[in-house]
Amino acid sequence: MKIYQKATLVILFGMFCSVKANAQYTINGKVTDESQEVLPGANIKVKGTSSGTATNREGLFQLNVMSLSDTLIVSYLGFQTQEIPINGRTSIDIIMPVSSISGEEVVVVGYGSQRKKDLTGAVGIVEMEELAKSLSTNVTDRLQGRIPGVTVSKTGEPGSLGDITIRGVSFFGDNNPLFVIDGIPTEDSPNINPTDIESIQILKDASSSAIYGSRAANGVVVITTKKGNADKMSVSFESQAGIQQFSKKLDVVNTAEFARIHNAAYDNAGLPRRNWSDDLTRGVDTDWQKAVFDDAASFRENNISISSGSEKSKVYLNLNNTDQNGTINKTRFQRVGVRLNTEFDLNDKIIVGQNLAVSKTRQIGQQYLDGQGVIYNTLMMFPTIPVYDPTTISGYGHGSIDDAETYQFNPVGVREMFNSYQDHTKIMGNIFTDVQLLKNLEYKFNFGADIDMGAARNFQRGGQIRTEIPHLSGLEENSAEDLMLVIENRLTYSNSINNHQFSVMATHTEQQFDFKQNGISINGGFDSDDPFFQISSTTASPENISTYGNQQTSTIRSFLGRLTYNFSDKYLLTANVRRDGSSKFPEKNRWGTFPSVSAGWNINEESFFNVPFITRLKLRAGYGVVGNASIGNYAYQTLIASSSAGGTNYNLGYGDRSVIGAIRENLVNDDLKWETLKETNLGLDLVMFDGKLEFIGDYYFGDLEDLLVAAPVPGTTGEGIGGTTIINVATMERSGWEFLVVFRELKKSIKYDITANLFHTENKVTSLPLGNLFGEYSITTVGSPIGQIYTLGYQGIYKEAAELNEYTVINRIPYIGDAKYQDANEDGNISEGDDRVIVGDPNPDLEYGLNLNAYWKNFELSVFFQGVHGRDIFNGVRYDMDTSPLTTYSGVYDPYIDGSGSDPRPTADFGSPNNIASSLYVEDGSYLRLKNLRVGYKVPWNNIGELTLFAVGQNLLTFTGYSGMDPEFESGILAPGVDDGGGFPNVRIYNLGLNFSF
Amino acid sequence: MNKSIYKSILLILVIGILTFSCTDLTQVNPNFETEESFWETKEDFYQGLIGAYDFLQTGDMYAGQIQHTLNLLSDEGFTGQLGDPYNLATFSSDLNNEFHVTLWYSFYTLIARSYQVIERGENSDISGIDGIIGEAKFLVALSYYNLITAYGDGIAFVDGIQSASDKPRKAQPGEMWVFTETLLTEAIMVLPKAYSSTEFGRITKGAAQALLAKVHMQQNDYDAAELILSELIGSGQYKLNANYESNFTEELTTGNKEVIFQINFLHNGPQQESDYNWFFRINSPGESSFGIWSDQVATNFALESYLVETDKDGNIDPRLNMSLFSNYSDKTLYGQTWEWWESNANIVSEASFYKFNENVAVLNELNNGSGSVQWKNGGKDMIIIRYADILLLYAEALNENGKTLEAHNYINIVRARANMNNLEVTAGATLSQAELREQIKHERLVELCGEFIRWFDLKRWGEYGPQIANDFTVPATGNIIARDQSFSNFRNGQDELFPIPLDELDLNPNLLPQNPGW
Repeated sequence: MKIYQKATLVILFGMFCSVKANAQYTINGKVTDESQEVLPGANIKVKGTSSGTATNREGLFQLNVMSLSDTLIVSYLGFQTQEIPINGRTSIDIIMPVSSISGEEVVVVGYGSQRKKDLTGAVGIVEMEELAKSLSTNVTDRLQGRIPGVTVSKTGEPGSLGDITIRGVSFFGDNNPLFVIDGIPTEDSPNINPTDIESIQILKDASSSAIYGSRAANGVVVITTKKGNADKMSVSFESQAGIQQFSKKLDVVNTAEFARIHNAAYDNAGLPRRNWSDDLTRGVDTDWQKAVFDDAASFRENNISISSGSEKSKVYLNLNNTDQNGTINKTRFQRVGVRLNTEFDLNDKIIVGQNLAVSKTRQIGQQYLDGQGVIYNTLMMFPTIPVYDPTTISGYGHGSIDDAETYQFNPVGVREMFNSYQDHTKIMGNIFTDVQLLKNLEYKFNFGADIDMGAARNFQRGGQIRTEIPHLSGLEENSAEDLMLVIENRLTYSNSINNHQFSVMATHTEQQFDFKQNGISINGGFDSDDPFFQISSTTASPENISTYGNQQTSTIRSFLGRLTYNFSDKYLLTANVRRDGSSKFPEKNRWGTFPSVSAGWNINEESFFNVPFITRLKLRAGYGVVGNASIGNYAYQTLIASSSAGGTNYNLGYGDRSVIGAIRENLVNDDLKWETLKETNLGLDLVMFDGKLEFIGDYYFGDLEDLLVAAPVPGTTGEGIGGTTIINVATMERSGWEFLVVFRELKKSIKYDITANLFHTENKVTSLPLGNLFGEYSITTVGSPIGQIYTLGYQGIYKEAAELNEYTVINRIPYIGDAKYQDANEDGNISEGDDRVIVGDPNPDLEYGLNLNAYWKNFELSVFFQGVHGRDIFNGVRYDMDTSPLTTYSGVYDPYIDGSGSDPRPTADFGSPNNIASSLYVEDGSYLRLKNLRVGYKVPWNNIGELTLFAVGQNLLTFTGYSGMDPEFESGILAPGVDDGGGFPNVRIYNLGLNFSF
Repeated sequence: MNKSIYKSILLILVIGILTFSCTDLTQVNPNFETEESFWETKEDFYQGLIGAYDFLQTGDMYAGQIQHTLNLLSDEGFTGQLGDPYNLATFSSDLNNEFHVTLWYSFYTLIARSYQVIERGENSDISGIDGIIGEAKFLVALSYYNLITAYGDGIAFVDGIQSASDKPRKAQPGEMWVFTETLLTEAIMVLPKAYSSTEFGRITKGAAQALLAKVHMQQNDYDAAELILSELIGSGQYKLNANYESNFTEELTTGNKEVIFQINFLHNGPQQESDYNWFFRINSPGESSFGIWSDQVATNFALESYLVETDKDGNIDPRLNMSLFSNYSDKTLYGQTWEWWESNANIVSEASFYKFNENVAVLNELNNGSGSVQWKNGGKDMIIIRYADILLLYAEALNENGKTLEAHNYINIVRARANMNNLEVTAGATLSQAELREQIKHERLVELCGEFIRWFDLKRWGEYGPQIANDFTVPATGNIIARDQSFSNFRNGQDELFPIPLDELDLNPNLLPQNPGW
């Protein structure tokens, strides 16, 4: 109440002054840090006005004010922003404390906020300034390497969103964290404009994430968008543009080398050679990567933000557009978005506000055919096949069985004959109100909606672009709508009595998700070369048209509460409990309770503590129980699918009479329940030398129980090849440590800070009652982490006749040059059934990030490295290439031909043991990558505004022994170490940009 | 001022609490019926049965994979396709051969769908579903008939609906045959002799009898087989078509008394059905420019077998023209004559299968479209058991039971329909029991070639082994024909049976040990 009166007074006074025109006062001063080093370029503004200035090289400033009762706001990067009342002075020296040591920053922790120094759990606080330097178009990719314990796996496909895992892959289904944007929980990765983000907090451990209960076990990413600036209007414009390319070209054979190996493969199998390999007089030597990849794909991004406000209202407005071309022609991502956030104080008791973001994106995709992308086909295609060939049906080169037998699609043909795009119109927003009901009692109401209207279209011209097999013309259109509504009622009571500060929060919230989609597709039946047409009854005959659609609803109802207690800033306690009811589970298992408790001890606040170089020291400990549900809606309901022609039906009668049939759609378990994580977290926060050195460390351990597993079921259940059912059976242990070290030197003329983070996560399956789980070349088994690489053990090639009868693959007589495998069960025979062993661990020993920022005069430099160490990859691309006569060969393949070569003999005999997956294809997947390098120059234009010019490079350097295109790739959960070549490698980007604000 | 504050507070609270605190935590899938509401009426059971029938027409079953598998494994078929097909045909498969794997999953899926009907039906008091249950039992028996022949009788014993955790035991030697006989015996008691014209295609009593006879024959139990075959033949329910070819022309279902059991494909049905369905049904003797390849071709042995004798009028056995596309055809394949194929395609074999080929549908497309095949609008029905097969089986049973003379008569019925002389005329005398045994091998080939029956025959005769690479002598004419050389690779002690799929053994160790040699 007092503050309000004061503010009113200031405003009234200000108005009075402005009536008394021209009565100005000049204030002089100097800005330094705590060690008396001057700070040039510090911003000084007059609170509540738009006037301001900046310090010169000597740290001096001069400023005209209307009144000597005004307040100055002084800010400088890396230091705490200061509000200095003028109090009648005309000369003011200002000392800036380093920002990091105060701990007064407020951190949003879900259903409320806490001071950083009051935190008791493991909460990762993202440095937004660092994130802003990234060129990734989405926030998930930008988080890579920034926070210990947070892993991002991503691709270079324009518009794709990287997958975040927090503290490792812990579930067999969904491992994405819960995202909470301005209080709206959303389970999808957020495709919001990163520029709009004010802060990101990551709730890593169970004690801090438990407030999100049943959806928190993968951690929670809490995102808050920007509010208007109450002080003055500011306009910021940022624009950048550049080019992108794949950072590596895969080493593959040219025609001469290809032919040498390919001919040997057919000779070895006793089969006739393929014509175009046997006879090279055609002179074709296609570099498919050159034909498909674009080395200078453009990238553009523009943002304009207006932030404005007064004491009683704040407005933030942003307009953004992004246009990123893919490094494969015809892939592209475009986004246009606008955001409006406002907040109004209706009176001293009521605040109302709203956040609204509307965006439209178009992702023109990598076209898929039979599940294989353009890139895979590009890598696998024979160099003996020309890109274009006027003698073929569609004009694109392809083989034939006698000439060049490969069933890869001509990737240029795919690129030019197949098209697909996906549009999304997203509307996300909420309205909220804060009401001060009583002196210490606050009520908050929040109503939010997240709407995503999607439309997708795929179309293709009919023709033939691969050996033997033509493809139909086709068109598919699909539209989908996601609607999520959330409502929240929250009461918070906080009070402090003497040294006892406490608060109690209670919340009721409900959420409803509705989804519906429908689509239509035509497969064949039109000849038009022009793919741009609409589906109608005249385009295709009815038997070529199929339609589909479905709708789904799920709901969550929750009650939750939190108690925080703080005694003299020394002893801290936080307790959370949440009770969730979810429609995803059968009635008997519908409700779950998720409690947590954590405590902290600020040792430096104790009177006995007197270590001069330690500024702050805090110990933290917490325990929590949280849930996860990686299942779809209605998963506990056994469904009966019935349909007429085109689905489950049969033809009866003398005529053609399709009779509707019905089958059990799925094999379900009606006892599904939450997966739970029970985790203990121990943490240490240490600040030394007045903030020069900061350390945050966490150690955690816990158990995952009732894990939902898509357990393979025997074929005798009738589920067919690869049939599964979901069941809560597995358990796992998880432990790990993570730390972050920051070193800052802000008191010299070259200022810099170095942030390093390092972490290790260890998961171990402890129980899998239904038996091992298998992924591609991978096994998940008790005692190991998820997805160990599991193949035969390769032991080189047979070099001498004497070795030939050591071990043999059943019924195969080896020749010199054939692969020799480990006889794991020592029965004298090699077979894939008995002799596969774990040959690699895809889980890294260490993951790390290293960031350096340096400032000298008007220059700023930022360097960011990210890496992983001690991790194995099964190079599925090399395996596919070097073991099949139907694909080209890798450049590193050195097969045994005519008495020389160290790799197994090539053979076109598919049953040959040489073509079995083995440890020969397991490689060290460690890498260190220069993720981001940015050089900026701040143009000294202090009185008008601030102009920064910058150059940025992304993924400039990679140090790795991995021979594949990219050691970073997205993979299946049960085969995390298998690079199957289906993905879009990460790209190198060079950008130039400017940022202008006034 | 104060009043308005409290008004707005009240308003907000009311909005907050009322907006939608009524979310319902019970959500029922709006897209499907659920199991709780199903299986309550006769119509539900009928639909469930149709659901089982539906699986017969999938690509993993009779729409392609089965005939592909069985043709390649016999002495009448071969392949021009490297990889799994070639390895299968030349007995050089490894554990992962898709043909070995698919057959297991397909038939157990059919069994699972059928048991939904059988188990729920037998526990239900709805009346009038006995026949439906009987049809489902036939489908289970058909599955076991195939599974035992492929994997031996140490397969998974499934006699009810399986839950996710069920790991059925390995059957005891002989147990599966007995169980299959029981299922068929029960089915025979409840199945009708025939259906109305709109229900044509469903399983009849005759179909179950025919399958039961085959089950006995496969165990070399000729006494039991003879009994049931004579009952089936004596029923008068079935007779030979006057014209051999008309069995295999498009959609000849009306009044075809020769068909005992067939898969009814939807003719010109929706693309996703007919697409998949005839994937393996458009074979040619060699790769062609319009995208048809030679996945299944006929062996020279099959072709030569037709040439050992002429018909009554001195012409080539008329069955050849319908069975195989070859130099002797007066028909075209996809609109092109044999001469065209010989000069325009890379001929893998001198003959390819013709009976169930989607010849007409392909031709229509070539004429309509881009000059390449687009895999649609097929749907030719496929006969699984026909009366001629039964007559020949009866002859075989009679001969084995010492009734060689009588056996001649039934062979002659089949020969006469094809305008062939009586066996005695061709041979100049009646054949001995041993001679007739060999002659039946020939008779079955020329009558049933390309109907994926041959593999069962070879197994029944104990001939499924490397000896098939040896020459074959036709007793009645004395011709000596080179048989299938691909059998020379046959791995004794291994290739007699398919391996149980590796994944299945991983998931259900009760099925160990693996079949010999794998």
